[in-house]
Formats: sequence, structure tokens, C-alpha cells
Amino acid sequence: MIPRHFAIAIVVLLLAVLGLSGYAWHMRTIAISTPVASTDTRPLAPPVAGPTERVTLFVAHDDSGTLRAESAQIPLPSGRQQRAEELLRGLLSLYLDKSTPHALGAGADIRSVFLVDPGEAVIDLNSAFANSHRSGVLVEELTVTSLIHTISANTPGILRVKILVDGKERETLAGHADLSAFYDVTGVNQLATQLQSGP
Amino acid sequence: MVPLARRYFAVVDASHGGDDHGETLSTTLLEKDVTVALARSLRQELESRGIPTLVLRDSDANLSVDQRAIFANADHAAIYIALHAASSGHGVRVYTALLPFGSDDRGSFRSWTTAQHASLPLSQSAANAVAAEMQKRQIPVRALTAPLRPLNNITGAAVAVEVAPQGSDSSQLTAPDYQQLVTSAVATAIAATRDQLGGAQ
Repeated sequence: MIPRHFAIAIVVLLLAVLGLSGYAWHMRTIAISTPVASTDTRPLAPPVAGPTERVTLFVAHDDSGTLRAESAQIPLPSGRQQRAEELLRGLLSLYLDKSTPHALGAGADIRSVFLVDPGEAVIDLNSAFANSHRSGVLVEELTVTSLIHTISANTPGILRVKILVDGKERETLAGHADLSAFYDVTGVNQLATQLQSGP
Repeated sequence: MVPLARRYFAVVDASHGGDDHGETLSTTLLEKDVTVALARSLRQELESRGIPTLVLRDSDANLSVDQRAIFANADHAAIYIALHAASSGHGVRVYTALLPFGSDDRGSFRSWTTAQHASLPLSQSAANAVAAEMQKRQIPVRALTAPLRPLNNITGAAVAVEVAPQGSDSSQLTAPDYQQLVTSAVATAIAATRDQLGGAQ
């Protein structure tokens, strides 16, 4: 014969199991019915406020296949690394505008820029930037040259630049422009000069 | 110096292929298909000028950029020509390698990432000859450097030719007349620089 207090304990435990199962089922139903955005296109960093500075951006133009130096007034923080990030975000805002001369996909962003001494910069793009980029030798090299020439022209001392996507190495930007090695800033500056001269 | 065994003077590479479609030029046209057609046309034009030519990809095969460079280097071809197609821009772009930073050679061993370094002046001569020939034929043309593999891994002269339509209609890329206009200009330029290219070891 099972003791009375033992039977009561079993009944209480069974009731607890049933209750928790019901609660888990309820939570699962809520989780399924809540829509989840497939791609979060919000900017990764808050916009910078404060005093603005005049900088030179090297902007790609698809119609002529050229790079053009354009002056812009953008807010820049005091830190060297943060300045480089905001500089590239300022360039990107032109490419994400409706009247852009060189369209990038929605949600394209710079995750971060790391300046490593001596003379090394790492630009980390988000996956939306690379995954939605148009394919083609010229269109990809315009993007890469625009980023590298803009950061090196406004940040003295950079000799080589590596481009990552979501913190990882990637073979190409969109099937053509090589991202597997470090870019030599001297070579990129010469290419920028070629691209500024036009067809 | 012992002359290198050279079976082919030119290696023509139809870029992309297999899972790598390249650019989607239109809803029905992929870059990998246009490059094969251009490669076949260029082989015909080169061989009609007496230049033995190997087409690296003559079907819808997967070939990595490393494999392409290994094939071209192993054959000691005098010139490697990569073919690309694009819907943006007008006419033809001729590219030579934009070499990446660093990677020094070690004695007689060349760095893989900058293997092109010693042949870059020869590549630029070939690219300039191709551009000049395009201009003669009224085809809009630009000569640029590009961070485009496997140009930097090739030990001999290496150029890439990116063909875009002359207007805004991408279907021109499949027109045999336009393909022949471009490939005959490339072949004429290569034939004109044959002695210079062939003399290099």
C-alpha cells in the first residue's frame, strides 16, 4: 500500500507538469504569431551630432564610370577611428539617397573601421552592402576605390587597407573586385586618378 | 637560357562558369554565357592570325581563379586574356592587374599574390595596344588597372577585357557582329605585339 503523503506528492507533481506544459504551449503560440523582420535595415550606429567639418569625398558616378571629388560638410567626432567611420558613413549616405549617382542596396552600412598602426586600416562592411552590390568589374572597383581613396585622402598615414564583410574575409565584393588581400593605397590612389580622368 | 616549352601562345579565359554566373545581364542573359561565346570568337580570330590559342573554359564548368592561373602559368603562355561582360557603361574596358600590398618574392620563388609584378610593363603594353585597336574601330574604350583575380597571379603578360554594349541594350552582347568586332580588335592587337610578347620569358 502506497503511503498517503506519497500519493499526494505524486498528484501535486503531475499537476505541476501539466501546468508547465500548458504554459510552454501558450508561449510557443505567442512566439509563432509574432512576426520577425528578415533583414534589419536600421543603421548600426546612432547618427553623430556636434560640429561639422568640410571634407572631400570621392564619389562614384555610374553614368560616366568616373570618380569625382566632392566637398561635403559632415559632423565628425574627435577620435581618429570614429572620424574615419563617420567619413565613410557620410559617403554611404550619398549612395543610399534616391538621387544617387552610384546606387547601393538598401541597408548597406559600414559596421566599423579599425585603424591599426602602422598604416593599416580595416573597413568592415555589413552583409547587406556586399550581398546587394551590383556585379561587374567597373561598378565594383568604383565602390572599392571610392571607399579607400576617401578614407586615405582624409586620414593621413594609411598605407594599406583590408575590406571585410560582417567581420569575415570574403573572396570578392560581388564576383569581381578582390577582397582577399590588402589594398596598396599607393596603387589605389593611382587608380583613383585614372578613374577621375573619365573615358 | 633554355626556352620554355610553350604549347599555346595565348590563353583565353571565359570568366565565371558553373555556379558562378557573373553578372545577370538581363532576365535571360548571364555573364558566364556571354564570356564563353566571346572566348570562342576570340580563339577563332587569334588562330586565323596564326596564334595558337587555348580556351580555358569551353563549357559551363566550375573553375576557381587559382585553377585558371595554374593552367595559364603551367603552359607558359605569352599572354593570358580574361573575358568579362557587363551591362553598365559603354564599349570596352581593358584592365591590367592592380597588385595587392606587399608579399615579397623569396629567391627564385615568386609570391602568388604578386606573381604578375615582373610582367606588368608587358601587360600594360598589350592593354595599350588593345585599346588603340578599339579606338581605330570607333569602339569606346578605357584602359584601367583593376583588383581582379587571377590577373595578379599570372606570371606572363595578362589583361582582362570587359565588354559592355555600345548603347543601353544588353542584347547587343550576344550579337555575333558585335562580338566579332571586339574580338577581331583584340586579336589584331595581340598579333601586332606578338614579337614583344613572345620574346619575354
